[in-house]
Amino acid sequence: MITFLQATFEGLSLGAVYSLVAIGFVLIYKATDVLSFAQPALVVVGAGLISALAVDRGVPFWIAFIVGILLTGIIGLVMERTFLRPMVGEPVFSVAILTIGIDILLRTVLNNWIGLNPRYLGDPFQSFGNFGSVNVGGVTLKYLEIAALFTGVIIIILLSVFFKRSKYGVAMMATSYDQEAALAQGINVGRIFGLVWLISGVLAGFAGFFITGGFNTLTQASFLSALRVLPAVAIGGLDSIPGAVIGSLIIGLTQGYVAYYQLMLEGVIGFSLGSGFSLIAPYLIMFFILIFKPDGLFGTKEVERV
Amino acid sequence: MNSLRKRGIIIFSILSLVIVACGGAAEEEVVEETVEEAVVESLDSPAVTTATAVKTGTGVTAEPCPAEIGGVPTGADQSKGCIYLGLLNDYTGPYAPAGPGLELAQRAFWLWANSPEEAGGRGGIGNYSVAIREGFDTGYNPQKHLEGYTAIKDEVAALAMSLGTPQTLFILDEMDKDNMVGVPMSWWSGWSYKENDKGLIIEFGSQYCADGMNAVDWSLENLGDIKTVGIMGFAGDYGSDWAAGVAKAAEANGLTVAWTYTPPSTEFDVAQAVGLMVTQPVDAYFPAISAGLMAQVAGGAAQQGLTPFAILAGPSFNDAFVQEGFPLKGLFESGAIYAMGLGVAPYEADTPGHAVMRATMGQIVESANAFLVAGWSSQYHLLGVLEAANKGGDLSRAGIRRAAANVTVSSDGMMEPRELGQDRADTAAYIGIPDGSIGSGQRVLAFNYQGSSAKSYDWTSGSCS
Repeated sequence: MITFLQATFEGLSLGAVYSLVAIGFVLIYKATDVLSFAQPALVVVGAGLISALAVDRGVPFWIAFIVGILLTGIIGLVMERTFLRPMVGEPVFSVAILTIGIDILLRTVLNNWIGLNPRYLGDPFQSFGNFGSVNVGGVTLKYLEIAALFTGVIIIILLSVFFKRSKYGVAMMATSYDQEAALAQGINVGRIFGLVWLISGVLAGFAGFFITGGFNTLTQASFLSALRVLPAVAIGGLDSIPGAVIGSLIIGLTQGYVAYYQLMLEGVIGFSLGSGFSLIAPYLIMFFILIFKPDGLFGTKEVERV
Repeated sequence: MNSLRKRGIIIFSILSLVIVACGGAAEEEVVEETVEEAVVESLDSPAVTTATAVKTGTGVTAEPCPAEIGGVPTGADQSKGCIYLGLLNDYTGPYAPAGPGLELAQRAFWLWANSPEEAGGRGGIGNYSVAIREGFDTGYNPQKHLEGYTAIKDEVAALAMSLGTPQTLFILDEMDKDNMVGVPMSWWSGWSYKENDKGLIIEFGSQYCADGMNAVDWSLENLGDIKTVGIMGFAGDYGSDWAAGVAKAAEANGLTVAWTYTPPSTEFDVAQAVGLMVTQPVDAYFPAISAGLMAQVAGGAAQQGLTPFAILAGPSFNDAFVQEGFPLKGLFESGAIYAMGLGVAPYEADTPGHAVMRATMGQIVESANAFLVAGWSSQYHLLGVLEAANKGGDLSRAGIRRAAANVTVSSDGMMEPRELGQDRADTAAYIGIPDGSIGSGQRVLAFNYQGSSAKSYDWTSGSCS
C-alpha cells in the first residue's frame, strides 16, 4: 500500500508539472491554431532567469522566482509580437516551423550561458526535512513536489475563474472559438494573442522551476523533460484545457506506477519490458486512446466537408 | 508584413546572434604560459627515419595556420606550414555541456604544443604547426556525425576528436576508406582492438569496462560488506561497457545483481531509477549516466532515506556537486559516494603533464572541470602519432595511419605510456571521493588502481560490449 501511495504521489506531482506546460500548449493552440514548439525552450528560459537572478546576482530567491517567471511571460509576449504577429494569415505549418526556430534560438542562447556545470536555482526546498522531503506514514513526500502539486491546482482554478469571469478571459475564449466572429464583436484579437503568449510564458516559467528546482538542476538537457508533455496534450485533446490537465495526470501517474511496479509486473508476466519502459508507457497509452478517440479524450471533433 | 515589423525581426535576430557570439568572450583572452617542465621525447616508432623531405597530403598546407580559431589562439609559427585537424563535437545534444570544455582544452593543448620548445612547448610537428578547424555540431546523433565527417574530411589530416562511441563507430568505414585516424572522446573497451577500430582510433585513458570492474573490486576492498548491487547506465553507450564490466566483476566476486537499469539516454527516467532502489534496495550501485541525472538519482534516493554506496563512472560526476550552495553537497561529501576519473586522473594530479595543462589552461579558463582534463589529455597520443609520422617523413593520411599502428606514445605522465595497435586495453583506474575543497571536486584515493577482476580478465578476448 505504501508503495502504491508513493507511486501515486510522485505520479500526481509529475502530472501537475506537466499540466502547466500542457496548458500553455493548449492555450496557444486554441487561440492561434498553432502548436508552439517553443514552449520547451520557454520552460528552461524561465529556470535560467531564476537561477541567474538568485544564484549569480544574489537576489533573494522568492523575488528572483517572481521576477523570473514574469520575465518569462514577457519573453513569450515579445516572441508573439516580434515573430508571430507578422505571420497571421500564413499557413499554420509555416508558423509551427517558425516556433521550432524560436525554440532553437532561445536554447542556443541559454545553453551558451548554462555552460559545463549543472546550475541550481537557489531555492530553499532542499534544506527542509530530509534532503527536502518528509516521511508521512511511510510515504516520502517531497516539498518541491508538494509545492508543484499545489501550484498546479491553484493555477488551474485561477485560469478557470479567469476564463469564465474576466473580460479578457471571456474574450480569449471567444477568440479561440471563432477569430473572425470575435473580431466582428469588437474584440482586439491581436491583444488576445499577446495575452495568450504572456500567460503561456508564465506557466512555462512555473514549470521550469519545478522541473529544475532543488537538486534536479538546470542543464542543457533539461528541456527534454518539457517535451514529455506532448503525449499528454495529444491524449487530452489539443484544444481542451481540462484535457491537458487530465492527459498530464495520466502521463504522470503512468510514469509513477511503472517506475515502482515494473519489476513486479515483469515477475508476473515472465518477461522483461525493458529499461526505459516508464517513458514508453505514456506513448502506448496515447496510441490506444488515439485509436478510439482520434481527437483525444476531450478534443473537439473536426468535421471536414469534402 | 509591414517594414517596421520586418525591421523589428531583423534587429531581434541580429541581437540574438550577437548574444550567442559574445557568450564566453571572457574566456577567450589567452596568454601563452612559459612552462618549466622539460618535455621528454618518448617516441619509439619503427616508422622513425632520417628522411629529409616530408610527404604531405590532405589537410596539410605549406601556408601557416590561422592565428586564432574558435576564439582561441593557435600559437602557430607563421613561418611553418599547418596540419589541420577535424572536430566532431556535440554543442546541442545530450553532451553539449561537455562539448565546449573539451574543445577549449584541445585547442589549448595545441596552443601549448605549437609553442617553441624554449618557451616550454613542443615546437609543433617538425616544419608544421597544428590547428583544429571549427568544430562541427553532431548533436550526438550518428547521422549528423556522418554528415559532419563528410563535410570536413577533405580539409583535415586527422580528427582531433570524434565524440561518442556509437557515433564514431558509425563513421568508421568512411574513415577506413579515407585513412583518417581520430581521437575518440569515449572510453569504449573496443577501441583497443583492431577488429573494432581498424587501427584508426587513437585511444587514451582507462576504458569503461575495466573502470566498472575496478569500481566493484575497489569498493569491496575499501567500503565493507557489499552483497547486493545495482547497475545503472545508458544503453548502447558508455553505460553498456561500464555495465558489462560491473556485471563481470560482480559475478567474479559472487555478488547479487538486484537490478540493471540501462535505458537509452533520452529515455532515462529518474522516477524509475529511484523506484528500483526503493523496491529492490542494494548495498551499492554503479551508475554510468549523465551528471544532471546523477544528482537527481542520488538526491531522490536520499529523500527516500536510501544512501547506499555509489561508485560513479567518470561522466556521472561533476564538480558542481560539491560547490558551495549546491543542495546535495553534503550528500556527495558524506562518504557514501565515490567517482572514477574520466579516463584520466583529475585536474590537480601530480604529473608533469597535469602541470603543463594547469599552466596553460589556467590562463584561459578558471575551472578544473574533468572535461578540460579529458580534452587536453586526449591530444597527447595524437601528438605522438603526428611526431612519429613526421619523423617517418610521411604526413599524408596513410603515413599518419601507419604511424598510429605501431608507436609508443606518452603523455608526460598523465597516462601510462601506451603502445598503440597492440590489441591491449588499458586497465588502470583512478578513484576519487567528492571533495569541495579541491578545484576538480574530487580527491584521488587510488591512482593506477587495478583490481583482481581486471587483472584476471582475459583482455585478449576483445571488447566487453
